[in-house]
This record gives sequence, structure tokens and C-alpha cells, in this order.
Amino acid sequence: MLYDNFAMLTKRELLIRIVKLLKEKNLVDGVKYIPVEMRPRSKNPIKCCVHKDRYILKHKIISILGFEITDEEIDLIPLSDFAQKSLDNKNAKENILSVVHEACSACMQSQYFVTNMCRGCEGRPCLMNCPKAAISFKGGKACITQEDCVGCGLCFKVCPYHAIVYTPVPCEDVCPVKAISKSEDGTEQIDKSKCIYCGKCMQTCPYGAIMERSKIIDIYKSITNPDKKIIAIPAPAINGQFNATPGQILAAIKAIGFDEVVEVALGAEDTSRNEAAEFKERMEEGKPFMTTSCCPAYVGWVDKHAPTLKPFVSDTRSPMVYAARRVKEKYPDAEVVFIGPCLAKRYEAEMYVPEVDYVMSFEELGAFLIAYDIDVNAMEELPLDPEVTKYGRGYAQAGGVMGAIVHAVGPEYKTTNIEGLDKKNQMLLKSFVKKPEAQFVEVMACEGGCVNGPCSLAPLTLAKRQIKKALEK
Amino acid sequence: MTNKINLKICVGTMCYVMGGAELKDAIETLPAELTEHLNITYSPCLGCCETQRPPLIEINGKRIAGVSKINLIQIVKEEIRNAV
Ligand code: SF4
Ligand code: SF4
Ligand code: FES
Repeated sequence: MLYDNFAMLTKRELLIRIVKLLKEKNLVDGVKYIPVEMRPRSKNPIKCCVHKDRYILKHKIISILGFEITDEEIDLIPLSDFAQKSLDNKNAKENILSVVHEACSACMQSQYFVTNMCRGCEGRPCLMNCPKAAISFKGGKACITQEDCVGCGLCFKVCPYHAIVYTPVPCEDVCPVKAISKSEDGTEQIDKSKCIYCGKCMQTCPYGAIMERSKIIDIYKSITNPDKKIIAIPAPAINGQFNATPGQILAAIKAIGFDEVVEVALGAEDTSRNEAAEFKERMEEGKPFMTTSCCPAYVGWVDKHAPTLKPFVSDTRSPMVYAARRVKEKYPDAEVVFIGPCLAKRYEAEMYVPEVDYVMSFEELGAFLIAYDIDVNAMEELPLDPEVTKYGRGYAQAGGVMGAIVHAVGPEYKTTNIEGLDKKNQMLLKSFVKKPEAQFVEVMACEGGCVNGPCSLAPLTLAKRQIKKALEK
Repeated sequence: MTNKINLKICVGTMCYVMGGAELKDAIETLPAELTEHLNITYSPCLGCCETQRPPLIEINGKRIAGVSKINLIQIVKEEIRNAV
């Protein structure tokens, strides 16, 4: 899905170009050329004309530089000023996720719609099957009265000529909690009180109009500041991302300029230990079940949409927290950068984890590796921490936490894992309050677990194979 | 057919991030009746991602830029057809 989508590549290209300019110490001057270079006159425009395309890129760049993009003033300020401001630390983007209004194409309200392929056949199954009598025939063709339509899709299914189409609003369609909707001008807006930062909308928008807050400028500044110690903590899912061994990946990250690289899998060992103890305690107290808490999108969902589940969520902290704590204990003055595939971790880090200074996505990591000319596959391996087991690294995939807990508490408990928060799984989870299916429930908001996080680089099938290889070592 | 087709997929960081991972995924899951004709290697940066659109591949010495998963499979089939 990822690469069949040019909007995704545009985002990556922007990141790569910006980090390259940073590295060349030429961001302020060079940034204004990016839109022209990426959308030259010789190419066919994507929107109405090349100017609109460039204008959209300008807005996306401003978002990457760390500014909120709803401001009208944007038109009056040149890109270079934004670059300078963000280098001076004056970028104060509030929202973790925002809609780039210029890019949002204000997709048509989702609806079922009869195309002119309709032959007005004698059977008229659409008319017969519509439970709301929303279909009428005008001039021998079917026509849906939108006010009456409830969107059940029956007409769409039964038309023998496939004459009825569904026009979705892609971001709204994938949002599991209806947090994104149209504002008055037709563009989308995100309701912060509902959003669980699962990242689905960002991944899906075919215009790449939904962008996360990036901290690459600040991270770059810390990396290049000789007075600062900066330590990277990559998530377990990292081992699925590159065509390289875990040791090579650690070496590649270090080569960017981090003083040290500590696997979050080390923190996962702490999580497993504490979570197993907590689970046993709860079982002894006679609690019916317990769910994991390491996926912040799931925890956010419980907080905002399923509060009845709250007492059953474990209090153990996530691997990111324990890994960051270990680092801060050793080097209290160091800055810690979590590197992961996850949008919700940005939220978790900001709200609950003072030990993590910055969050960097795998895509941003890719941009740094490219700008710094680092070939991951050609790196000399760094030694791996012997304290990290395959159970800690296993957190990368759905079922991993469950595996680690079973390993710790033994097989006598009933366990299950839930991947993805689609409607069905949301209902299932809520039903556990009355009738739990298992005693230990692992929940990951992403299908497949973190390897399939919204900011990952490798497609899921490949990432899974690469993780398997890494775990066999 | 005696001579295998040399297929080189660039997995230098630029190509890999800009779509090469998808190519690696496609090649690793190719059916045996195609792979038996291929001599597959993964190569570090071929040195042309600055000027040509990544990801790049090399098939029997020919460089092709901006390859997607779908056209990679077409290119491979075409090359096999020409060889027999
Ligand atoms: S991040 Fe997830 S919850 Fe938030 S608006 Fe997007 S799809 Fe909805
Ligand atoms: S499954 Fe992993 S990547 Fe996905 S939202 Fe949860 S923690 Fe983030
Ligand atoms: S990374 Fe493929 S040609 Fe450079």
C-alpha cells in the first residue's frame, strides 16, 4: 500500500531534501527552491497548475519545519523566514497531527451515487431492495435522494450492471473513532478530544494532506551540538525496516551522530517483568482479565471511547519509558530520541513521558540516513546488548507481548491478542467487561502490531520476514 | 534455457526508502517458475540515485529507474520471454 501512493513518496522526498539542506548548513537559503525543483514546469501538474502544486509543497514544508498551517499569514512570510525561525527554536506547532488545508482536496461528502451506466432495467433490484425508499426513477434511470439515503450500500451490491458507485472520503472512512470530519469549507478537521493518534488518516489521504508534527530540526541541532549528549532509542520494530542485521542498524543510527544507541527492546524486558508481576497479582486478587498498555493508541482509545475498560488496563509502563529511564539514570543530562513507526508515541511522549525529549519516525530516520550517505547494509555491526532477549525484540509484532508474558508466567492462563481497532474489535473489547474471552489480552492498534505502524518504511510482509530473521539470531 | 538473467535490485538507502523495500518484498515472494530463471542480487547504492528517479534496478546490465512493484514483475517476465 505504501509505495503505490505517490503522496507518501512526496513526503519522504521533502524530508530527505530538508535534512540534506540542514546537513549542508544551507536550509535558510535552499529551502525556497524545493517546490520549484520538485514540481518543474516540464512535468504535468497534479492539481490545476504547477503553481498550485508548488504552493501545496510550500505548505507541507512549513508543516515539516514545525509550524501550524492554518494561519492566513503564511502567504506573507517567505519559506526562508520559516526556516530561520525554526532554527531559532521559534516553531511552536501545537497539534501532533494537522490537516494541510491547501492540500486537502475537500473530497465530496461520501455517498452512493448512480452513474450513467444505469440502464433502467426491468428488474430494478435497487428500487426493490432499498429499505428507505430512497430510489426513484427519472427518465428511465435510477436516482438516489441523498436526504433519504442511510448509506447501507444494498443498491450498490445488487445492481447487475455495477452502475452504482460509492465515493468515499478516505480519511473519514478509515478513522476508527470518527475524529475527522468536514469543516464548513469542506476541508477536514481533526477533533482532538476524540483522536487517538492511530495515524490511519495520515497514511490513507491520497493527497498527503494530513501531516504529523516533525522535530527533525531540533533533533538535527542536538546531534550537531558538541556540548550535548544525545542518545537514540529505536523501537523493536526497527529490525524489520532495513535490509540489514540488528547490529548493522544500530551502527547506522549511531553513524548519524548519536552518542549512543540503546534498543527499546531493553525496556521491553522491564515491561515484561513488571507486566507479568502485575498480571499475577491481579489474577490472585480475582480480577477477571487484564489488557496490555504499551500501545498508546489503544490506551487513548480506552481513555476517550471506552472508559469502562480502564480498570482492566495494566499500569505497567511501556518499553519506551523504561528504556528512556535507563538512559537518563546513566546520563542525566543526555537528550533521548525515541525512533519508531508510531504517531501515537508522539502523543504518549509529550503527555506522559518527560524522559523522552524527541520522537522521530522511521521515515525521518530514513531521511537522515540518506542525507548522511549511510548505507545500512554496509555497516560494521555494533555488538548487541546481551540483556535483550528475543522476547524483548518480539514486541515488534502482534503477539509479541503475549509471548513474553506467557514465557514469564507459564501456560496456565488463557491469553489472546487483538490487532487493529476496527469496529468489530472495538465491540469485542467492550464486551470483555462483561464476558472476557481471556485473562490476558494484548491489544495493538495496528494490524500486525508495530511493524505495521503508520510511519514504517518496509511493507508489512517484508518487515515480518526481516524481523523473523533478526529474532532467529 | 541455460543462461540465467542477472537481476540486481538496488537496496542502497535512497532506493530502499523510496520504494526499493517494496521491490525486495515482491522479488522474495516471486513464484518459483520465475525465480528459476533469475540470478538475484541486492546491491548497495548504484551511484545514480542523485540524477535518476529511485528505486533503480539492473537487469542483464541494463539500468532502469523509477521501478514499481508491478512494472518490475512485467520487466522480469519480458526479459525471460526474450531470453527463451
Ligand atoms: S489519527 Fe486515527 S483517530 Fe486521529 S483522526 Fe486520524 S484516523 Fe482518526
Ligand atoms: S501498534 Fe505500535 S505502532 Fe501501532 S499505534 Fe500501537 S504502539 Fe503505535
Ligand atoms: S541508492 Fe540506489 S542508486 Fe543510490
